[in-house]
Amino acid sequence: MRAIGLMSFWKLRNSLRTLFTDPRKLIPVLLMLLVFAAPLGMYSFTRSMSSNMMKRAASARQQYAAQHLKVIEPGTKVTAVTPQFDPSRFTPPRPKIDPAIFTTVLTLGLLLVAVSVLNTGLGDRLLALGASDVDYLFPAPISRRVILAYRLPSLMFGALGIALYLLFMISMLTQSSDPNLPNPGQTIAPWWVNPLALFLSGGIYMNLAMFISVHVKNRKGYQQGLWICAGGFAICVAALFWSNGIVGVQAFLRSPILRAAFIPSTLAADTLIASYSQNPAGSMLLWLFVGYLTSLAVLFSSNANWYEQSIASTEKWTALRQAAKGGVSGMMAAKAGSYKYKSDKTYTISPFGRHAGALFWAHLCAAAKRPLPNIVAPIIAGIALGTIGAKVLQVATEKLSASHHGPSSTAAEGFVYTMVGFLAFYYWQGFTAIARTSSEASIRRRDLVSPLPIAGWKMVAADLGVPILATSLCFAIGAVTYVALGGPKASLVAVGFGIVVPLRFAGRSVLQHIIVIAYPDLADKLQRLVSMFIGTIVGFPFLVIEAISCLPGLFLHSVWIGAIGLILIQFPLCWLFLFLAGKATERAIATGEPVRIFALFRGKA
Amino acid sequence: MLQVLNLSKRFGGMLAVDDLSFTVNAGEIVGLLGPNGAGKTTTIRCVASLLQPTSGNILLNGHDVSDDPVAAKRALAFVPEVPNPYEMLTVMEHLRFVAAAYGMEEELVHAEEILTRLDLWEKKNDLGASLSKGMRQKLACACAFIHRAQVFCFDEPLIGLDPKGMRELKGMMMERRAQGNAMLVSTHMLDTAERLCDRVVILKRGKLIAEGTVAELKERLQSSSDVSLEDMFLELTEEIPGS
Ligand SMILES: Nc1ncnc2c1ncn2[C@@H]1O[C@H](COP(=O)(O)OP(=O)(O)OP(=O)(O)O)[C@@H](O)[C@H]1O
Ligand SMILES: [Mg+2]
Repeated sequence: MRAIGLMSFWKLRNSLRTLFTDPRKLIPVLLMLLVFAAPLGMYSFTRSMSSNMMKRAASARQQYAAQHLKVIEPGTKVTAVTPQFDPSRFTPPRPKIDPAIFTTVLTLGLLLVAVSVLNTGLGDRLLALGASDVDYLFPAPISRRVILAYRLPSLMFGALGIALYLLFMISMLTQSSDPNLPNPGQTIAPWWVNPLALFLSGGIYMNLAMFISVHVKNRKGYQQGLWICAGGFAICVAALFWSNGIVGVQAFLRSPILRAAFIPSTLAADTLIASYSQNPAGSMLLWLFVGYLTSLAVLFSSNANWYEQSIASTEKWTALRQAAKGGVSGMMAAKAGSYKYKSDKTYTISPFGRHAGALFWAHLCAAAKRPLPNIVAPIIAGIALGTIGAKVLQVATEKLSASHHGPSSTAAEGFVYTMVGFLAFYYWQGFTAIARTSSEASIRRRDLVSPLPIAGWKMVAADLGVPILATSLCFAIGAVTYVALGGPKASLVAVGFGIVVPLRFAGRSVLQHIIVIAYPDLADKLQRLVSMFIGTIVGFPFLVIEAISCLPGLFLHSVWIGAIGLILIQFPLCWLFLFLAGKATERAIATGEPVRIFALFRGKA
Repeated sequence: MLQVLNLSKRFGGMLAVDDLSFTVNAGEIVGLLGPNGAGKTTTIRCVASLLQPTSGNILLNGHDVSDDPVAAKRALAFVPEVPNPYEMLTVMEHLRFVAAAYGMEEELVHAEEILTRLDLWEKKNDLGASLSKGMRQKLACACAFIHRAQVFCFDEPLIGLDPKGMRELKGMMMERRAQGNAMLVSTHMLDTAERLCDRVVILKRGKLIAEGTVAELKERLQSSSDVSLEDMFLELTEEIPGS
């Protein structure tokens, strides 16, 4: 025990020491911290701003009301008495979140956490230690229980992190939209009650997952069973929501069987809800604590021999981690290699096309072999995008414009489009990352394809064809779904998703390809960050060009003319990017060295 | 000291070790030989209780590895085939950690001597991540020698060592043999095995095909005395068609 304590302490100390003395390690960590801290800072800033604004607005509203309104019945009934009264200046208070929605979302969220923790237990993640642990800890005269206890804290830190993150989300939900619970957002319970409840319930599931990992040898079948159950559950919830709304889901979640089956989640959710509605949560917390201790006792009561499984998982994860140092594409290659294809029929792919066409065909066939990420996922993502865009935001528009009149309904529409835009933006980012992976993979293959007599630009087009097609598929299906569900401004959105976004994406991923060629050191995180940063900078002038192409639309007050301008400008941009990418590829193949971007604009080297 | 009794180890449908029995006595170095995939590493991993035997028993100093693993492992020093040091521990911290794990911190007085012999003393404050492959190997050996084990298991310890390192390691092994320790060494270097080992155990496809001193093997194969272990090994492990 003491030896493990010493070892962990030294490890931590030396890691911190190297981190703070090596800027190549420190800078990425600081940037990551910044990325995580920024939303927190933004959140607290906007919260203080908005609460000030709300106070000011409330007092302004009271003053205005006092000037122009006379209270007929105290509390409820008012009537306008002055002729100058302008109803548009008397905005009613913000709509409040329904307590039913609050409790339902909370319970569902905690169930999701429970299922995902159990899922890790059924996978092989929990038993994967370090390769050094296998070499130095397993043969040492230390009991397996102690080594299990050494593995647990790092997992518990993870659980604590999840607990705090969830709490942050919940408090954001309650503080920014006042759930109609009495005294919202101000818990009378001490501040540690909610994190502790979440931590304990997460910890119970973690111990359970660990117990499963240690005891059940062939877990793959159980894991698939869990996925099927979770999928069925999600479909049930969706169907209930569709037919009965949030009340139906709430009733379903209150069913005793479900509550009993996920009793730690139930207790944690109840603790949180109780503390938000000023009820005492002590007894539920006590039960959680008892449950946690019991689960610990159960976990450590058995002395099962889990080393062999652990070694297998450790070897697998070590290989993956090693590969991850070579960028995402390296990891995906390693992951693909770790699958054992047990296919009875051999794939026979008839060759098709010549030169670049054959290369593209090879990529297409490779994508078709793994249809889940390449075809199914984009289709599902597209349907989700279209459905959310059309249905959910339709409801939101109605609700919002019902409470506002006149000019505020355009504001509501604007809100809707902003939301769709944000969603599309996240999709865009995701697909950009995928295209980047393809670019990195194509650099890895450079030695293989460079002897082929293919023009550079064709090679780039062939290499990026699959992610561009997948993206186009996703957005096109999103557009079709949107139109089919009758979302507002259907034709404009359809043109945007169906034409503008895919074209623009094609151009931008080719641009990204050039930058990946110019900054190819994939093993280096800092280099990656620099490369992405440069990508943004290089992309900026083209953003300005795109904005200029929209200007006629702005002058003529027509969204359509703007859209047509945006579409037309994509063609020369795509052509330019492809031309430059082709040159860069040819040069990179000829010299085998990174390509300097500005050298592309000069003549032959 | 080390007794392997009817050990079998099955991976799925594959029998990697098949009913293997042998003994390593105190004051003896036994070489574990066999072609690639013969089951040497599997046997040694079973001894170190990294793998659970499908059947059979392993006794270390009289303690059964499966029934009383902690007591059994207290007597064992194990050097894996490809050692992975902790990237974030220094060389010296490795030794201190291992000594603490075996409850033998007083043995750290030998640390300087061991590290100097293995050319690691100047590297004693370097992190595991910065060590070369051979140094990692030497570090694992140093960790094995730092505590007072009675049984040593080495899985191809000489791979990747420089000539001086090889000589020092062999010297240290022989010193330990003189002190009455038992050693099991798997290796492909047959000339070394011939000079270093008192006895050899030859495996093929998980089965023991020959055991004994080099002289005994020669007698059994009715070879002339100038035949090397290498020739005998190849003769023994050669595929004989139809058998
Ligand atoms: N974890 C495992 N799962 C399945 N099979 C394994 C596993 N470990 C080893 N094997 C198989 O068991 C057999 C014996 O392997 P082992 O590593 O013991 O051989 P070895 O004698 O050490 O060979 P080498 O000289 O190459 O080190 C091999 O056929 C190997 O494929
Ligand atoms: Mg081996």
